[in-house]
Amino acid sequence: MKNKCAPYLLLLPAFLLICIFKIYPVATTLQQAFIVDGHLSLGNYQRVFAEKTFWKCLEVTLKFNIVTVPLQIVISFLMALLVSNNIKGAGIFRTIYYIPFAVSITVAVMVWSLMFQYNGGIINSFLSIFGIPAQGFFNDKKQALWCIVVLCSWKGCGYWMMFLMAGIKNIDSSVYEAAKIDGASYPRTVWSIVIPLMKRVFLFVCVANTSSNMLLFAPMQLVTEGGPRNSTNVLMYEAYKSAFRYADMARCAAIVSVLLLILVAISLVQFFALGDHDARDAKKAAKKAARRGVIA
Amino acid sequence: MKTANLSASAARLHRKAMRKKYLVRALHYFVMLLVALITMFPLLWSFFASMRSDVELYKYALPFSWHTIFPVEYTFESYRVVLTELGFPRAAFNTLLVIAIQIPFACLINSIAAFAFTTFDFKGKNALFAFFVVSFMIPGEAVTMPLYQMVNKFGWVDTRWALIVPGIASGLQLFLFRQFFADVPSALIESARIDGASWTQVFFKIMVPMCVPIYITAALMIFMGEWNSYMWPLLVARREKIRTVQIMLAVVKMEHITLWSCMYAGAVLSVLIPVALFLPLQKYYVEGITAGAVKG
Amino acid sequence: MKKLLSLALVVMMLFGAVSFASAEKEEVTLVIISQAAWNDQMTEMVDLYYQETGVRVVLENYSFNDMLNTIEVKIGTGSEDYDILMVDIPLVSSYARRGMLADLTPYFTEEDLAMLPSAAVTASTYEGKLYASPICNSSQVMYFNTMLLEQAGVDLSELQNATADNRVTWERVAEIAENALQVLDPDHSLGIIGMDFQQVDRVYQMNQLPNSLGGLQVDETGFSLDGVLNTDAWKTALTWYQDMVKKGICSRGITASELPNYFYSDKLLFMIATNEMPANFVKKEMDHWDCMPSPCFEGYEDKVATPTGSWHLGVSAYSKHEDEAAAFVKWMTCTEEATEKFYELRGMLPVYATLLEKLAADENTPKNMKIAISESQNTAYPRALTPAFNEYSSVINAVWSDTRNGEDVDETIEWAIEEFEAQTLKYKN
Repeated sequence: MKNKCAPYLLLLPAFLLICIFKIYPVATTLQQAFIVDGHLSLGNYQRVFAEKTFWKCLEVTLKFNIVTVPLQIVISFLMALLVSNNIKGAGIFRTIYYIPFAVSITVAVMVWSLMFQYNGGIINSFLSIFGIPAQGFFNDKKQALWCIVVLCSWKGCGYWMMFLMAGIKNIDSSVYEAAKIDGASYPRTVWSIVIPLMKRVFLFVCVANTSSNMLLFAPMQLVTEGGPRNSTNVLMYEAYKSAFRYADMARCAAIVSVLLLILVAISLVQFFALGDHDARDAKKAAKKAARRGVIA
Repeated sequence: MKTANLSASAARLHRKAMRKKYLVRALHYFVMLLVALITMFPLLWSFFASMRSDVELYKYALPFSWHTIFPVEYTFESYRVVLTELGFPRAAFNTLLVIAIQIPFACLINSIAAFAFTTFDFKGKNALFAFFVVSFMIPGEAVTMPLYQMVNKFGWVDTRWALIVPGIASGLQLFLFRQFFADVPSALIESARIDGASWTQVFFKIMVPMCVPIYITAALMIFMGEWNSYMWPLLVARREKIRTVQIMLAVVKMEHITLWSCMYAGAVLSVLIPVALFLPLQKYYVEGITAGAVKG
Repeated sequence: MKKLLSLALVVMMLFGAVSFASAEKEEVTLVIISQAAWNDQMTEMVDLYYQETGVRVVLENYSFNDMLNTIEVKIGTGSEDYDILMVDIPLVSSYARRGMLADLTPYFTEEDLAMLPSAAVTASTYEGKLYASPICNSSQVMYFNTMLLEQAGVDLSELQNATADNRVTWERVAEIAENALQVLDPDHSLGIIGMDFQQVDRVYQMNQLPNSLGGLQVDETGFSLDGVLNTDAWKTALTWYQDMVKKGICSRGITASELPNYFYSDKLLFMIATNEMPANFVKKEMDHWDCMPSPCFEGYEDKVATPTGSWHLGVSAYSKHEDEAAAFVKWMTCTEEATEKFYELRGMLPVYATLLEKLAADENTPKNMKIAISESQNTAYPRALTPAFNEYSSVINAVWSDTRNGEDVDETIEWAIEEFEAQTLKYKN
């Protein structure tokens, strides 16, 4: 629908507030990435890119997200399917699954680090019953990152489940009836009817989940401090340390800008892959424009 | 004779189907229960930990026994300390007040912006949408310092404004609203417009009532975000009069001696409040968005 | 609706302005960024100061990490709301370099400075100016659980009679702990720890191991670890510590904030900890302990090095009440009355010379304090002097925790040298 000023007026409050409280401050921060001794320069990027640590952090960040994002989305979706029908007691389970999200990240990290503790942690105590030797968990180079994945998924899945559940509920029940009459099995129905109908919700969950996991560093800050041997050192933690420990805003800004670029790139892929109509329109428009450009 | 045979085999088939149905149902409950156990275990453990003294907590960590999890002596001392000496009720009230002011503003501002995106065509639509999507990818830590400087200039430090205003507009919520508003059939809006409804009426009479679950989801997002936010309130809400729950809990955590049982008690209390709120709200998820529309 | 919205925004702005205006008062009130763990004692101190001078000092308490963040954000962006900062000594030069601390030189006379330990004065001086003044000294003492050791049949007299001139060696402590563990917890099912450091994985306490073997903290430029870490002293210390963890004598995976709990719960035999620990023992009703001076390595009896230095007070460069703030800092750190009162309250080794002499001469001064006094005067080893202390501690902390987790010592050292090199590049241009 067309209307000259209504859409702009509707967008104005949100736009203004975001400009004041998000864009202006982040611009102030990011500009410092391009300044060395008061001059415009790419020196900060050169410095950061020359560090081995930066590349290690990039690797850890990507590794963490490649595993965590799909894992959380699949688990959340399965959980949403599990509690989205109206059988008795589903409501209670819905609430139970949501509870971990109500726990603050500080407390969640503390509880899990005590449970995962090498000496006397409940998980190692439990394993000892079966004669399994104590595992390092957060203190093992090979396990630490995966322990953080477990922690985050425990805390996050119930939250993402909520959005997916709202999406499932949004599908008209007649769709299921039709599928049943066609004799489609349950997995078949989910795969070829439910999921395609929930593309918009999936897009939201993918983009939001990716950005929240890319920017996550509380467990690294509170338990592992990026170790052992940088095995859990993500870019955001390095950026945080630069700003709040090393008083090196330029480095922080350089790292954050790299992170933002990665995030934008990933979400563009997600927008195209999940066939958001606006994105597709944009693509079509771009193609059209290109063709016109070729013709002209 | 033949009919009897037929009906008998039909009954057998029916019984088989019923048995299968019960089996599926039982399996369903079993899986739901299993997931619930995994989600709840760390919390139950902290719940029991909150009822024992610090010394006892460490004493029975190893070897694994009944008392690793269950206290020898149940004490509610830590709850008494948290509720009276540490001022939990006051902090909970402060946090709830901030949230209560923030939720209506945030829901309104972000959803009208989303409404603009789903109902209207206008110049710069995609660019503006991209702007909002990118805005929620900016890590909070990268804006903390300039934002603090700005809030300090406004004279908002140690006032509730600093807690409320910067968090109102959120690209993430706008994105959420837009994804679900897009599912509302445009025919519905068009027919309302033909009937002479103003845009304000369309929004408040059609969009809002149809998307109640999404408003609840958005409100919960705000709730949990504010309830668990730590670094920002630590900087701008120091006075005891406006101190939030997480800051109060942090006071419990000292440099060398951490009062573990009080930490757990505080954590348990801080989880109970959001859960108590979610419990009655979750029934709105049972009915989908368009379900109401089709019936109406 | 939009009108309503804009109105609401305007109202918010107005309210903000009003609350700002009312915050300014006639009477001088000083705000101090202070650490939460000291709340009770600091409250009494500021009350006393109010009675004497009529100047109110308000505490704003933070945990250690939060305090560092807060100072970075608030003082780093020039907030005028704060007057006094509690500063961990290695950070003084970093803050001073960035103009966050006010110059205190004019407020302290020669006589004042003579009452403070020269090492502490040097550490809080940056480019010839004094930026902070010390409150106390967290010299370390070795505590041990007498009940568990007796149960294990250990003859305590050897430990109890140890003195600064006749120390028990690290090797001997390890031997005693290992034997005791064999009696008390042979299959490790009880999770008893033989020996540990209260601030495990932290530069502050852990560096005493290489230091006691003649190892340095950082090279003389302050920006390189080459020639410091890749020496025999560091390699021996790291390898020895790693062996202790591998043998199950030292713990793995327990964080610094938790370790004292293990001591209170009879799960830890020997613990290196700060000198004010007995106050906590009283609180946790742990009454079967004794203490001795830090051990030494065999053959390095004359090289013993113990951690020293602690919290200082500084004045914010943006304070509107610099004179009043400096007066409080001076009172807190450089008068007999205040230092003695603080010692009574907190039980932590003071640095003020008059009080220190008095305590050293007094028969009734507790054993842990006597040990701490002697260590602070004879074996105190200054922390790394570098403006890049945050980078330094982040790298060295990782060295200790990686060593504890079983990483190869040589590789760890190599990594640390390179990492510190990269992180200090910015200071060198």
